[in-house]
Amino acid sequence: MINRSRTNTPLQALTLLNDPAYVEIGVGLAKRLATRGLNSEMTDRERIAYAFRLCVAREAKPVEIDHLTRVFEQELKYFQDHPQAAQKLIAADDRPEGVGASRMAAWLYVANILLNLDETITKG
Amino acid sequence: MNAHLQQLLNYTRREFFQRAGMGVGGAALTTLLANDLQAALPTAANPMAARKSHFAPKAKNVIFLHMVGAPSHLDLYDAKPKLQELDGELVPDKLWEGLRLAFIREQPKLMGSPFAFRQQGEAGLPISELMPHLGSVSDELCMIHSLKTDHFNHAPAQLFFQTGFSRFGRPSLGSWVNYGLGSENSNLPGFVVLITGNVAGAGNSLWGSGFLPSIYQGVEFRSSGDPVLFLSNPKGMTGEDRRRIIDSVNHLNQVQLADVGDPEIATRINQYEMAYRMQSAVPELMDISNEPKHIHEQYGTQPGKASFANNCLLARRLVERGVRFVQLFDQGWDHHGSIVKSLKNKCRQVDQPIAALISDLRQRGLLDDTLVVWGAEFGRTPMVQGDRKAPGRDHHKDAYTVWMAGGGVKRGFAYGKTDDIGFNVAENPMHVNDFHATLLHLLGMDHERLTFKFQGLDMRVTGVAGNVVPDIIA
Repeated sequence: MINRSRTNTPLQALTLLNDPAYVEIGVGLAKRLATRGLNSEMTDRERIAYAFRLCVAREAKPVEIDHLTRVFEQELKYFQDHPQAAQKLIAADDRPEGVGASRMAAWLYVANILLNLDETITKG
Repeated sequence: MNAHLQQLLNYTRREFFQRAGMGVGGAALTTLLANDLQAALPTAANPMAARKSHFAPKAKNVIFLHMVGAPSHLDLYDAKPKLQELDGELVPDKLWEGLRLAFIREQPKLMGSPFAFRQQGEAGLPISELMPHLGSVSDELCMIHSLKTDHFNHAPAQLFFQTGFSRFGRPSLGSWVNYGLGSENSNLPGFVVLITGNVAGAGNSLWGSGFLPSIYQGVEFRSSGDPVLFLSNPKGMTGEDRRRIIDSVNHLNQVQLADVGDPEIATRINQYEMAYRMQSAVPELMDISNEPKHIHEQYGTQPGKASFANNCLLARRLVERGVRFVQLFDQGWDHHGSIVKSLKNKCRQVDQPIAALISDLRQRGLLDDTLVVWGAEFGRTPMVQGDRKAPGRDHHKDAYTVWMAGGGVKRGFAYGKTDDIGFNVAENPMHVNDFHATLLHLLGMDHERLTFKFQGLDMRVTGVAGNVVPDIIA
């Protein structure tokens, strides 16, 4: 029995992290999350649970949601305190109506993390 | 395999991991525990950590130059005056009877080398006029004239030469070596592959890790444009941003690893760390424009231009930084026709940089620690293939030449002999398995102890064969 050769190299990591195509996918996911239930009662924690399911195709465990919510809140605070950093990261075209650059930047963080998870890549 | 059996197997594996009870990091280690490298087990936390070899090594690093397609040993290293004499005569019946060749079907004629051989240096090893620079460093070389392989088609022979097995699925030499010894540089992969021309027929399995954990597979750097793509963070993203994102990715992957125990997740965590470190280490490594003028003249390098010469210089820079195994592939050596013109062209591309690499390593004191290997998947026939006006040579597996330099091999030495026409080995045959055993020995490893448990067997690069050839060791 010969297994299919596995791609698990630093080159793959760099591609998923920095290839403009994957960065665009990250921005796309961030937009989707930032605008999800925008004028409803939906919480960011719920958006994170949704995002996790989109990427990994299973419900997130509480520890996973806790971690990502903490990251989101931390980054949101950072970008609110440093709006210029957020504007550098998020082009004007990528800021949906009703969502500021800071929120988009924080969502991009979450999207980037989710799209690089082993489970997202392997669906395993 | 039916689904139920698969399920049982998976269950057993997970159960095994759970019982291993070594926490998150231990999971990846469990597959490695089966090996018998007692002095030095790779650890899951840092599977690439430098480890002690079985015994004192002669060489620490390897630069392996594989000429893809298989150059003619009879026109480069193995001078055969008798073949010259018999040029144009039919190959003797006793050799032809029952002989299978890759392409030649009619009883062919013999062909002497159209090139002259020169003896330079004290040892006077004869080397073709096509390799004048190499001739000038011939006193550093250990020629092996009696290598034998089992295969005469490119892909299986390439796999056999690089993995010790003619089919896909086995770890490559560089993977075995990194599995056995780890790496001296944590900012770069321990096994780097540099290619000129197309990828060899057997593809990336030539630097694959087979059944070894994939952390040990070779990492291919591109030869033109950016050597590694996507080293720069997206616009507006700082290094600290990237660090925090990778921290989160790795944290969540750790959670998953603790849950399912797949060692590939441990590899991925390590590869994300490596990717982060490569973002700063690789641009510095690959920027050869800072090398002094005399080095560029010596190698014939031009910064920014894809060439075998650039790859030779990069190979030196890689071993200088502690990269364990550097593999160069150079394509275009399969000369079934027009060998006079084609071989001349190919030699012009590689002769000067290879000689420069050897002298440069020697001058920097790196050659004693670095084993340079030049070789190919097989040799070529003493018989002509095709039109006598544009003659070529067919694939030949029964005897061919490879050489080594530095890393504890004898200098200015020739091992083994072929018969008068260079067809069969006449003295001291060395099989590819012996060659692998000897290479590992030079690195301080016993090929019978460098094993990995797979499918119930203690797998080795040499299978159930291989003998170290002490005669070539200094």
